[in-house]
Amino acid sequence: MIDSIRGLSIKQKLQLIVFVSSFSALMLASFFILVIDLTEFQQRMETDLNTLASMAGNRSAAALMFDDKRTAKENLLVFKQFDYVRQACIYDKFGQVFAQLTGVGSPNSTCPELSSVSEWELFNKHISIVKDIVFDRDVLGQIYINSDLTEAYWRKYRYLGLIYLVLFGSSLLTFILSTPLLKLIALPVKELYKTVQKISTEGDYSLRARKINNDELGVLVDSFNTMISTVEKQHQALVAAKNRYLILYDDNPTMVFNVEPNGVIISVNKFGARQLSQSTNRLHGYSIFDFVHADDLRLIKQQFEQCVEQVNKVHKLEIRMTCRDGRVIWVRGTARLITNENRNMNILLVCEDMTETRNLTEKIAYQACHDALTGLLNRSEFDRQIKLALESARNSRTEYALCYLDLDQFKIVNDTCGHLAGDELLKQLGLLLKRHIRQDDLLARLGGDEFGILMKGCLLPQAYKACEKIRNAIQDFNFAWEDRTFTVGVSIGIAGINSISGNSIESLKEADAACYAAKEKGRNRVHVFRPNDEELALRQGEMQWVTKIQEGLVHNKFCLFGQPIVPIAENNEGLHFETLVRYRNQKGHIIPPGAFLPAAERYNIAATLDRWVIASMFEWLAKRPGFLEDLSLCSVNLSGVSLSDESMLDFISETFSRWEIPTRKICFEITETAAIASLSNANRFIKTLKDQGCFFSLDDFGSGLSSFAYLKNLPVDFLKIDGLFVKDILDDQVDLAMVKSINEVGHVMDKKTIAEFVENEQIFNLLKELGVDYAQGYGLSKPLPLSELRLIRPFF
Amino acid sequence: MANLLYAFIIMTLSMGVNARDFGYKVKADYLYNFTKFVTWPKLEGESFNVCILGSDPFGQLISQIEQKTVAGYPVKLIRLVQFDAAKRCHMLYIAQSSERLYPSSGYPEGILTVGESEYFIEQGGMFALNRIDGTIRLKINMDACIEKKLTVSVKLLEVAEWIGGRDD
Repeated sequence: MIDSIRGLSIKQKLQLIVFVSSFSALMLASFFILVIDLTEFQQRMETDLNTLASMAGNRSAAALMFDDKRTAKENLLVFKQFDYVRQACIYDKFGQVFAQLTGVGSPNSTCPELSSVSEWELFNKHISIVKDIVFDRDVLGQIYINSDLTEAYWRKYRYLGLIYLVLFGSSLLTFILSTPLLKLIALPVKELYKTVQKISTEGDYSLRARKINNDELGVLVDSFNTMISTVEKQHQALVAAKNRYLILYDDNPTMVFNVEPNGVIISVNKFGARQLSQSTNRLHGYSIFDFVHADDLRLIKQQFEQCVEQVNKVHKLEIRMTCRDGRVIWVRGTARLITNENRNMNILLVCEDMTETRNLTEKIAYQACHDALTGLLNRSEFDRQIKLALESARNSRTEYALCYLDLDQFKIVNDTCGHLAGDELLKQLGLLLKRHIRQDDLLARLGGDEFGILMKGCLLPQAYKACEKIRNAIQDFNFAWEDRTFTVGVSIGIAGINSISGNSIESLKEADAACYAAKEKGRNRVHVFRPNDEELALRQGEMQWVTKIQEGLVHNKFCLFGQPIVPIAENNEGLHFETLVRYRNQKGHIIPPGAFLPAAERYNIAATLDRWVIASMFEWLAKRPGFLEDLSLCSVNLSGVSLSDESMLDFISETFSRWEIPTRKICFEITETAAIASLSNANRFIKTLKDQGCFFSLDDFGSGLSSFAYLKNLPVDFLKIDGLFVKDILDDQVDLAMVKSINEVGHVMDKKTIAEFVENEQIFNLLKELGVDYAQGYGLSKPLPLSELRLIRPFF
Repeated sequence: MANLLYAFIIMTLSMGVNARDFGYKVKADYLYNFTKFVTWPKLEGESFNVCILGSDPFGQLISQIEQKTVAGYPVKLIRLVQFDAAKRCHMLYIAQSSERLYPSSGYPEGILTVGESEYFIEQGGMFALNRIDGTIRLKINMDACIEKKLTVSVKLLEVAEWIGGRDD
């Protein structure tokens, strides 16, 4: 009952209070009024009847005494006025009816026997009174009055009913009048309740409760509104803070997972969800393992186990994850065990996408050991592989064959069709070579047109056969470029790697030497390295030159020679010579440059040697002012490497100013091949020095078989016609024609021509006839130490 | 059977006490009853004297009266031969046969006179007990009572058959 009331609204409760209190009061009052009134009524009736009975009895005493029934009856007649009296009887002292009044309600009734008369009862509608008639202490008889109070009671009830009706009416009136008063309490409470409920359901803290009265409820509403304002501010601050953290969490460019130790994803940030899935679904309920690359599953599971075992440690790992679209990304994961609010152990996993970094690293690693042009292994990787092979040979007695391949006539393609063609040729040859080696064999590009093959588990005879096949394949290969077709050859050197081999450099040197020998033997052939091989002695010597040159530069073992260049037509020109470098060995023998210059060029010490020559020459000249005065022009050779050396120009200028050598007395000789190899570099180099006053001559012109077109772009002053044409000029019409045309073209381009290899007077005279400007050669003068150089005028 | 028994008892009673005797028995009771409704001006002496003048019709029927008291005075029954001796009486009964002894006036105050003839009131008597239709009826001469300073209760007046003066 009270529970059902508890659920009512305040208004209903207040109404109930008013109703229940007034109803209870009404009921209680009614009940007591009823009881008291009825009791009082009954008592009054009884008293009245008793009084009447006493009076009637008293009055009838004389009648009884004197047996006057008439008077007695008259006395009883007074009861006729009381309509509720049904019977009134007077009995004498013997109990006999003395007088009676009947017929008021029921005419035929007679007075009953006194003994059968019962006492009256409360609320009994019939009251019977029996009273003794006493006179002077003598009982003269009895008087009996029987009344029927039904009608009286009805009147009473009607009267009470009216009273109740009035009471009820006044209660109702009270209730109706109190309703507006109840509203004064219930309405503000209801308004407040509505506002609270709306705020609660909608979460809209900007709502305010309406203040209706200035009573305690009004103060309550004000306090509530103040409180809600505070809540609103705090809520806004909280939402802002939450959003800030949410942005930090969701837009953080890392994937942040909260996972159970068994891999089930509890939550993941938006970035992570987008990475792994195309939908915005937060992957809740998925397993993190679903997204891990199969090969890395074991790794991440181990990591999770370690996380659980080592609670406070941060664990890092790099794994691959598979996105929903099938993409595989590399991530660096950082995992740590955390305890959530329910004291459950979870793992916080932060994954940073490092695919690009990884790819870049892989690319760099790939580039570090691969040749960019052909995609084959590069020299350093090949070296490493040779070292591994050596180790393997020593440990497991596996035999390897190391092949050194050098292309023949590659330069022709490069020179005539340009570098693009050369590059293309190298690429195609790389593919061709790949097809002709076994799967276990390693193929590398070692330099410009040099390749290396490391054949595993291969004896030298087998290797020779394989190399022959390769050589044939290359020979049969036709390279087409812009309507032209080229064929190239290859010289292959083979060296074996076995348990007694030395280090990797030695092995490579052996193969290189064999290759050199193959070239020496006429190119396009295969040569197998054998210890004590005479053919290789020279080549090996070249390899040894590397250290000798470096030592020689330090210990001044080089010396300068000069070979005069003589004007063919008679003129008054002063001393003109080409500077040549020589090596003086430990025994004091002078070694010609043919022995060490290829080594210097091959092993990148040519530029250093050039600097030494320039510095020594300038110093020598500076110290001999008289010689310098007589000097017309001094030629100094520059290697191709020097032309590309950025610091060479500065070095030359500095040396000029250091020794105060007049620039117009110095001519730099560059080879045609070196110039063409880097035309723009050569042009810039030439132009810079020519601006300072130096001269340039193009060495060995014609030998490179390059186009005259290049000549237009090279602002040189002299053309040195390759001695190979000059020496046979007397017998060979082609050579003569060549020399003739070079000379003519040179002259047309306003360049002086110099013929090399002029070995006798006939050649000299023919050249004179052809109109060549200068001659140089053994026929005129051998190279001489500088101090022995004199102005000569042969054949005149 | 019951009716038979009841008839037998009635017969026995009527044989012992005849109708005349029954009348005097009632009258004897009445005499005493009168003391309760009448107030005497002064009650002196040692007793309340009830006197019977002349021949006594009551006999033993009234003797029981002497066992009663009136206003604390024991009732004394005195039989008078001469009216002259009635001075000390408070109530004087005069039988019909003795009415000649009763003087219609001149007797002292404070004596209630009770007679039984039809003419007793006319002769100046106060209370008359007449037999009417077989029932003894009371007549009261209020003038006489007032004259002799006797106060009669209204209750007694109610049961009286007749109330008036000597001339009425």
